Amino acid sequence: MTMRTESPSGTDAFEVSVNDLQVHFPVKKPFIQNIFSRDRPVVHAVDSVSFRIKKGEIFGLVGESGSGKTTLGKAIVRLVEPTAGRIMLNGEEITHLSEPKLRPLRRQMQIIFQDPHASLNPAMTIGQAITHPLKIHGITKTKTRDEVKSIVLQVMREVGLSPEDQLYSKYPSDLSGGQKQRVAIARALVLRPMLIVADEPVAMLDMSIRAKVLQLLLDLRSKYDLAFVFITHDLATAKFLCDRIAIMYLGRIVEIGPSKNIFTDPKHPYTKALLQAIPIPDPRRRTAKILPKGEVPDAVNPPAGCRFHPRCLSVLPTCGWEGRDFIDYLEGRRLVPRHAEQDEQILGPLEKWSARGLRAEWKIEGQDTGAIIVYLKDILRDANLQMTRAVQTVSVKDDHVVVEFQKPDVLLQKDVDGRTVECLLYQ
Amino acid sequence: MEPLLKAEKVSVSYRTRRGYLGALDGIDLDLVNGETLGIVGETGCGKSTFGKAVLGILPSKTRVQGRIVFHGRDLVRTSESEFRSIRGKDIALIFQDPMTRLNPLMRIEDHFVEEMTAHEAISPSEARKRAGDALRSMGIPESRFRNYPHEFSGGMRQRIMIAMAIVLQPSLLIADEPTTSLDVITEAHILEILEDLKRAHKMTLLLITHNLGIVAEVCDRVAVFYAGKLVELGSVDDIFARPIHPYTQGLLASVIHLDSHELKSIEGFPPDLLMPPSGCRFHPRCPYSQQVCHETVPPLVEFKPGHFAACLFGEQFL
Repeated sequence: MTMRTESPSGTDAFEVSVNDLQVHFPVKKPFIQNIFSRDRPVVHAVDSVSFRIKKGEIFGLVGESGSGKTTLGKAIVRLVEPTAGRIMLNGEEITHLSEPKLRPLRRQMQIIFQDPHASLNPAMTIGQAITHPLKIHGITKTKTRDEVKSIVLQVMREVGLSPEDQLYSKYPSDLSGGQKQRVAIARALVLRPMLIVADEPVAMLDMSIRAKVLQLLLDLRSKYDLAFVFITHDLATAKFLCDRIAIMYLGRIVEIGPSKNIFTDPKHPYTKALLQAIPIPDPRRRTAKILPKGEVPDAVNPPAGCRFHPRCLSVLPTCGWEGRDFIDYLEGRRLVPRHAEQDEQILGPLEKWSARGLRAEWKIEGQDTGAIIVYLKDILRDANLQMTRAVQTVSVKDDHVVVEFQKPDVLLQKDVDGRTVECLLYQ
Repeated sequence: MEPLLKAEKVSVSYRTRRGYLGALDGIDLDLVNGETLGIVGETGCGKSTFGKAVLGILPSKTRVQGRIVFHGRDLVRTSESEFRSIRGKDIALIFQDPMTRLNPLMRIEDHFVEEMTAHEAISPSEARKRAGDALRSMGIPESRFRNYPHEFSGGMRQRIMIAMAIVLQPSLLIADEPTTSLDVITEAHILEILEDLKRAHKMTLLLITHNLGIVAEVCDRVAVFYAGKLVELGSVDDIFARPIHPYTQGLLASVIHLDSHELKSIEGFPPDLLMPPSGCRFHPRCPYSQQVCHETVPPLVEFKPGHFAACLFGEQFL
């Protein structure tokens, strides 16, 4: 294998493509449980996502915590192992490439993290930190000390770490947060990569210095045609910086396309909700917000159908209603004292209800099933209308009172007005 | 109207290995009954120190000068044992990270019982009942009352914290970056909850945050801190429409929002508070600074009714 020393990719075309990528993490369980139980629960961190990143493009991965954006970013540079799907770098598959074969390719793809304090070794000077990747990739071997130092000083100048010869021998603790993040950028840049995955690079920085770091990323992009995967929860920054964005929710990309299209006319109800939730720094524009209810659910058992359906404000009866949505409804009712008492009396303690796929059920022990069914149908009238419409039957089956939902429609990705969206509203 | 809290010339210095560090310098600030006052500023500006001074939770060997008058009592000179009866009962706090306040080995419900029985002669069963009401009002179902803190999501933990803070009906609630570790949608939910509470219980809220968007959405007045100084104070409308202090101007301009078309920032870094700059502390970074700014400490001047700023050239920015 030949190693190019100066610019690993030179002016060749650069493209990363990700196809149906999946990253599942096993849930750690106590040893004994592992022996006696067959099910192996997994966290669905990333579930079948596809996209491409081209040379010089800033691609945003936007989502809340638990959306899988960081896992996906790490998977692209192979810091976490994908469980399915493919990652291609310039047409070559790297999904399961072994570490020795991967290493030369890593020069092309670097990553920087959110917390610059944690990503720098406190015992290494700034010079050592930036020289380190050159050592790892064997570049220092072919060069004199002075040559190496001048490469490092050069990259420090490029990221705005000045006076560079003074900072060279300083330690991370002597630097401000913004400077530390610049060191992290310099350390990624010194290998002359084609792609930098930047995971919330300005989230920990003060507002007044964020802009400068973002400007640096933009400058590097125009100077080197460097591509970025910009991971963020901040839609405003993503709008400003990114050429294209992917909105992630619970491991899925729900909307992907040019940022301009998505921000001027968001299609997915989740994208709309995110945009609406951002506080606007203008007191004259205070408005009442219509927010999706609840929080992001557990990624071990993501909701059926569209994963956003339990919180969605535009939900349809066919979006994926299932047994546990009904149990969640029962739980919500118990927050209201006047319902709580009657529900407890007629429907028993909540713990006795269980969800199995499309069904929610309760084992009867001699109660009057007729009255229960009437009561269930009655309280369903107060529920989300779309959920109620999705109920197929309320019946008694084998000693159980069962609320059963209809099967959801198959969710497909559709191209709508210059972006791809995964939502039944557009199918 | 008599303010609920009145801070007069409050200065706080932390003891460090390199000497005393002046985190706050001569802060004069009133909190009016029922208002929401936002304190904004960047890392190290002293905004959290102010909150801690009000709550009497500064580290020992910290030098505190001035007066903080609350219900006729000077909190700076209040002993720790007296403070115990005020904290939680009259002044409550919501932290950025609820896990620093919740005991991982204690069930949620027991946190409430402990808190309430410490302050009031109340039976555990009565405490449990009131805890239940507070938790339900925050959307925590009864089936979760006996769970441990780690079994809740971030947003739920913050709602539990809020329930704990309000269960004793304090007159002043201090929220220090209450939504910083939360996602935008959860953040919006929590801010709505705080607004509803304020309305329902006529509580006064001191909201400490770096997020100017949040300030614009929930605060009545804003105090801008820079390097331990109060540099501007006024209504949100005035400050967002026409900031007087060049630091406030720079800070507002550097916020990246959905309508941003360019990136702006403030030159330089906040100063080292062991050696604060002479005169106006912002002068090394100020685009308008003159020789006089190096020499004279600008006083806080009322340029318009209710709108104060500490800038020698404030009139030019009216």
